[in-house]
Amino acid sequence: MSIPLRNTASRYGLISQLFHWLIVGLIMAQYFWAWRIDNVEGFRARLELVTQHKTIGMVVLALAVLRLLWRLINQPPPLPAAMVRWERWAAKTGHALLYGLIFAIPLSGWLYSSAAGLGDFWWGPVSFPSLVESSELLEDRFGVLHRALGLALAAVAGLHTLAALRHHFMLKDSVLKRMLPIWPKNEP
Amino acid sequence: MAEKRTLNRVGFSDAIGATIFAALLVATWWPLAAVAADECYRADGDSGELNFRGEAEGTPFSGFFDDFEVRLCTVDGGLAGAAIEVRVATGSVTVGNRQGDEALRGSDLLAVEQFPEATWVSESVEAGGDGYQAEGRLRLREVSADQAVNLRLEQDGDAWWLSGDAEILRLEFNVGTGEFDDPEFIRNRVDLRFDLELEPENAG
Repeated sequence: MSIPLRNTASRYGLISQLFHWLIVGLIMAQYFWAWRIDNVEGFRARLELVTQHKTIGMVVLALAVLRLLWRLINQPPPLPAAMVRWERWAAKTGHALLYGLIFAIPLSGWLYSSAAGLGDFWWGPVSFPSLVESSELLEDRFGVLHRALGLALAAVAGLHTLAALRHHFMLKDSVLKRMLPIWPKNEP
Repeated sequence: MAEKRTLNRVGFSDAIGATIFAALLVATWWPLAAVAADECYRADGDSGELNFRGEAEGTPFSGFFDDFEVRLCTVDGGLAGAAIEVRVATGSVTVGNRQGDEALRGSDLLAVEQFPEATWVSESVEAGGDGYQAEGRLRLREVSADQAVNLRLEQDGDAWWLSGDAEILRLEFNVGTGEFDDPEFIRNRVDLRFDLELEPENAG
């Protein structure tokens, strides 16, 4: 069983699937890291977790850029013809929100870190500049924004997952399966 | 003081700052001797900067002390042998982020509530290098130890500026207990730098 690199008319290719599931995994890890940051004791442990959380977030941002570029040169398979207008609108709006949040959350975190005066702390040899001057007022505001965007992503991703499950179990179409690394032998 | 506002990160060198100030004052005396003999000069947080740099998890950080006083009295009109006293309010330290400031002022690092002041008192000031080398005693967290300070003096118009640097080993002064006593986490060496405009004590 081999999965083509590029998308086909009915399924997502290997590269699109890798981008999708890698970003999903990293974002889920980010929620776990955020919970650990809120509950850990000790300055050192917290600094290390925050540094890791920030670095993973920048990896997500980089993957989001690459994924968007790949989507521009490799169009996704069309939605099933049986989908009605509101379903198509919901699907497109949901995908647009997901893409927007995947960009907005790392950027808000970068601003949050910069305002908190922790802009220099990154995991590994990579370093990123501080986007704003250190300011407790901005730190508080970007912190609220970062958390609110995180909650928004959880809500939209939850709806996205429910929609995929609805397609699979209720409508019994291929919307979910076409993003899974399962390629039927009789399908090109 | 605008430059100070750009600094950030954790710092541990209050006492070092005081030492530096004192050393700077000594160095300043050399040109000042042409003006007056056996005079005293002063500088503080409004007329100078006391900055420091360190490393946390291998990442550089910087900070400064806002509240400090330096008093330098020359002997026989020269900087060599001058007497220098520096006082630093440890609670005035900042590294530009609230988590770092809380940790730095907390009981494991500078413990500013128990030890609100660090001092440096010169014991000798001699010409050396491109300026002067001052030896003295730094008292930080009630621990007293020898601390050397390098001093330089420059004239800018009518003003005399003392600058200099020192390397403080924070763990010698118990600045770093608990999770902060690991030099792999917070580097032991803290680099202090200062830049002070000296004013005659009787200037008004």
